[in-house]
Amino acid sequence: MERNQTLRLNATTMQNPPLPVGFKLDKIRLPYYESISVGTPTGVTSSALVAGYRYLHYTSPVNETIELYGWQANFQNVLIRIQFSETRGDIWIPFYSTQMTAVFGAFAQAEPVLLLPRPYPIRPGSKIQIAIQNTGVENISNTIITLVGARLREIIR
Amino acid sequence: MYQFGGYFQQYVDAVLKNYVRYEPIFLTIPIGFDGSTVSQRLSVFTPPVDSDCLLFGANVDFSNSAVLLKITDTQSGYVWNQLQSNAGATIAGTPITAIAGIQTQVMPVLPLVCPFFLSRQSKLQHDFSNSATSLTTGGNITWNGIKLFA
Repeated sequence: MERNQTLRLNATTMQNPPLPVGFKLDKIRLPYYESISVGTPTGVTSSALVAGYRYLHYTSPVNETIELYGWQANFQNVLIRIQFSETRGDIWIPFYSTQMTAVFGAFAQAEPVLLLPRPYPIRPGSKIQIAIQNTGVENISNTIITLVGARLREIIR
Repeated sequence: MYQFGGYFQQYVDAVLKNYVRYEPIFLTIPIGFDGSTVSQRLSVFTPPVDSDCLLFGANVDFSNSAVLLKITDTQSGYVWNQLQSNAGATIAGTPITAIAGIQTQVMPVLPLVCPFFLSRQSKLQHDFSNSATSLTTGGNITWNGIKLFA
């Protein structure tokens, strides 16, 4: 069965986005941002990373390939350590030794979204596990991390 | 780096092939935060454009990473953001600093990973949410792109 036929049979297949008449490419990339409120919930709209605590979060499984380009956080603290792995892949950071500033961009930096060396395709259904530890002595409030990427969409003709 | 769609020149060329010429376009949308309502939610739209556009990046004229934004293409219904709440803590959007550049910073226009094709029949719906603690007043978001002439 051809790929397009498979997609047509999938009830959750999204419709094509608008395209110019005569557009020839078979795949396009749509903007994709996943924002995750990380830590301990402290209210109806905010979370906090409590000093000394470790947290586990996952990106959402999506039925299309997501190309991961980089990460952004709305906070920066060198005492936040992180660990990544992919549920259908391998471990990206084996120990709690990487500081968040090496992975997450911040708006006051030259690169507000810190890019990976190469875009990484997260396969349909797979998730990135994000382990976060606040090794400092102070809580950090209002903590949201964002995956910046593109949703790879096959054009159905 | 990926400044203005450098990753995807093939995509940009494939779009441009279907048009005779293009011109730069800047779409500015006033947000209108009142500066006094905590977590104020507002929906604003890109202004009508009589041609298709390719959007490359965005800028906002305030610096507040607690302002959140969700974007929807009104024609296709495609929502740009996936929002993951944390038990009882819900979030209304992606922090603006992940989507748009800040005027006072090194990168005042933050490029999209891949340029976005905005059809002339469509608009971008911006669902903004103001901060709960340090409120922004007013605010503008500007999309930087090219207008395509058939």
